[in-house]
Amino acid sequence: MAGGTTPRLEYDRSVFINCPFDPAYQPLFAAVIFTIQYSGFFARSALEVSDGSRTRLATLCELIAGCRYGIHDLSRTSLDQTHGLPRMNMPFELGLFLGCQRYGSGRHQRKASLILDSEPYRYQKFLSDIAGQDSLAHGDDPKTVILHVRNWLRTAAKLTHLAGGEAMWAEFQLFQRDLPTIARSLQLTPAELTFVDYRHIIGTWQQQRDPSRTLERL
Amino acid sequence: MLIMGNGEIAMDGMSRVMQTCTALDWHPRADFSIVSAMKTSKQKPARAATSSRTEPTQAARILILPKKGSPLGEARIRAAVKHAIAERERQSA
Repeated sequence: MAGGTTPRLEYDRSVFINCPFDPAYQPLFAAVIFTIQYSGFFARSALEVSDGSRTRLATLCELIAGCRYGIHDLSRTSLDQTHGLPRMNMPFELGLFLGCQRYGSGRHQRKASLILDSEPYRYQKFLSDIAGQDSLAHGDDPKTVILHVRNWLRTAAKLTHLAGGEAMWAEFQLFQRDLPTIARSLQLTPAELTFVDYRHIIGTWQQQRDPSRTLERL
Repeated sequence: MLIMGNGEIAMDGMSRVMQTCTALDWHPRADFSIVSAMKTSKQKPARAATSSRTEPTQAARILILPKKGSPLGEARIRAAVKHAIAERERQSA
């Protein structure tokens, strides 16, 4: 399978983010990326790949194959306001991830998922096939997202040293305060920062906040 | 990135890409190679014999990765972050 050649360290630290990309979701998306990076992991998203010669499905399959962890937010599966149709991408990508875990060999069987939704157990009404899987509700609140992602990473990766959720939330708020100034220095607005830029800036910011940390780039 | 054309055009295009990458502080991978010979006269002798137009015979492939992950450049980002932290601390003081 594509992505099967990802080095082990990179694979074990990569977290696939399966979430919507609409502007309303941006505060939650920013919180998820920050928590992953701040916890010493590597956030991966389809947004990091821009290759017109490949299908989106091929890109997704490669990303999923290269990530041990997956965060799947099903909170935006409601009807699209323009077309009146449900948004199926997130459940579909969750299915790909679970399929890779189920049918893949070796390291793919060690995959772990965090399923998020806006309300507790709401997803069971539209995706009953995965009823019984643990999911967590965030209520569209970035702080709750940070706490959930942080706690899940700590448990799933068996981390012994990780800043607490409240401390991470405080750091995130500080980072959000600095971000407009950072973007301005780069002659950009925060909205113009790409996923790759944002991920990169978090690492640099964190390293400058605490120079004892080693800045790693996967 | 795939640049197609005859040998001269491909090499010229590659040179321009390299210059642009350097200006953007990107890191062009050192290895770029001529990877294919599409529709050579060997494969299509009949057409080659009847056509005076030069077929695209070579494609040069070059893999371009931004330095350490961001096209904005490590040094620029570090300077911007340092400035933002200092600015906030100055305002808080």
